[in-house]
Amino acid sequence: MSWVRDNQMTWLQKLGVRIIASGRVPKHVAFIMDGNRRYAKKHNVQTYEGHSKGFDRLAETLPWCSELGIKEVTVYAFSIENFKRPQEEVDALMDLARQKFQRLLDERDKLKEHGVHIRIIGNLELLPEDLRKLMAQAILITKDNNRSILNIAYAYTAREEILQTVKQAVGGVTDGVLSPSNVTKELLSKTLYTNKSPTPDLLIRTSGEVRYSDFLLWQVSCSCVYFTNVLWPDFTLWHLLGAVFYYQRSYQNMQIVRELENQCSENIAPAELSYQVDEFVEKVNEKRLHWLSQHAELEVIT
Amino acid sequence: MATSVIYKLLYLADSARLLVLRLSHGARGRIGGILGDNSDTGTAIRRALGSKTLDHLAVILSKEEVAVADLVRVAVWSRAAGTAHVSFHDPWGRLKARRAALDQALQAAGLDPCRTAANATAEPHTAAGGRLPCVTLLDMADGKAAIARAARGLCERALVGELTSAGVSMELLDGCIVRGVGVPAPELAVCCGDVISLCGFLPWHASFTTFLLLPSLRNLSLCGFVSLLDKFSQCEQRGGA
Repeated sequence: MSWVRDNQMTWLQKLGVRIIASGRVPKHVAFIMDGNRRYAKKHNVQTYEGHSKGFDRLAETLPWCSELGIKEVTVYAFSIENFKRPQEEVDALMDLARQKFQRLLDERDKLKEHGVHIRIIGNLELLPEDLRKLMAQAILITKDNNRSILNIAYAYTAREEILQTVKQAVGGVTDGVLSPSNVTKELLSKTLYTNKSPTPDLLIRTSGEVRYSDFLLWQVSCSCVYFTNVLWPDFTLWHLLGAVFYYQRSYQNMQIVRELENQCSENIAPAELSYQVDEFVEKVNEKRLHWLSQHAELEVIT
Repeated sequence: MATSVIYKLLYLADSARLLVLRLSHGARGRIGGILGDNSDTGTAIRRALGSKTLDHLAVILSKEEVAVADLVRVAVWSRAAGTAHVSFHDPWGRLKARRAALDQALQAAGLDPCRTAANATAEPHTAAGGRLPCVTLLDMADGKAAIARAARGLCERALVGELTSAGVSMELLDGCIVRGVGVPAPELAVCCGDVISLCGFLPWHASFTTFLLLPSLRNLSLCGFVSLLDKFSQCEQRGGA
């Protein structure tokens, strides 16, 4: 199935979207797309088939988000913890990712036409070289598109993301670029994998699990979370509308908490030293871009 | 225009639904309180928990104002569940302002005065002869800021040549953050109100915590508490997303 699909909604679905879009629509929604394996078991098909159905559901969900006015979507596609699954399943997931990213590269014109910007968040060093290359290319060829943004968390956990950020800060201090007093939560926020994205307004988790499972823990500290029992491949537009309505109901309460979080900023270093922070953040971003360019052009030895 | 009217009607209907839910929760609470007084508290709590352990129970409060008695009740019931830590997270730090009254009530219930992340020690509560559960008060300044504090500590060590960035491992960072806050990762977090959110609660600690919603902590009955533990005991922990 293609990454870019046209909306094929019934009149009833269109009406539902219009009603919910009369309220405040979240700008950024994150999904924990859970339940592919249980879907496969329920339908007595191979696990791979469940994951494939899960991807199809994502491709259908993106136009719904776009129709509602949600500009940015972040999805948890593959956790570092998933490497602990049976090797056969991990290999199948890597193959599925290869196919989908190759398809994405083949559809670059369509992505440009729809203005879709793809980012991958996670420790790509943990992935096979050929997949890393496909992902790096996907990020670079879509980086100037700006109508909608899809962040795909792959080889990701929130703790690993925070660990990498802390390591960068320690490296910055060792190199003399930063002083320890520069290391605040604001600095850490600016150097996370997601440093180019606003914080998600709403996190949706399917399949009845009531945990964050190490996903975007830093970013969703003041976001509302919607847990639903439906398995991800069975997720429909109506579930999405229900989740957005829940967000709208809780918006005012969450806004108060967000404002409080913004007020609790750590002002440790003198203001005149803030240039050190800006310089450091710039270096981190440059280093990431360099890494991507290097890997996107990498010739895979077979 | 018509869609906007339908939306407003939907919003009103949902407000009514939430109000009914809150009122019925209150009514259940009062009935449950009577039942709770007559039953064997410890047995009911342990039975609800089943084979699961609850070492740390976190209660996340949002805008709801709660009484000291509501907090003490949860701490006392948690003792029966064999819980070593009970933490109350209130983003605004309103509970810290009422600490003296809370300490007095905790001591009257046979528990130790509460702690905050600021006076966290590496030493386990029981090692100093403390009584369980250890009650900790948390607020917005203990969430991301605790991670930043741990990071600064590691940077100081790097500055004197004790550490390099390559030497910063998951275990090292985890140890620094957990010691800095003084509580381990909770197995269960109860969000009080209409919405599930961390509300600034310790992000590092929340990776695999089970989150449950409780309409209100005020006048929570033993039945309500047991029902939460029962729900928690039925949550299956699976690996990966």
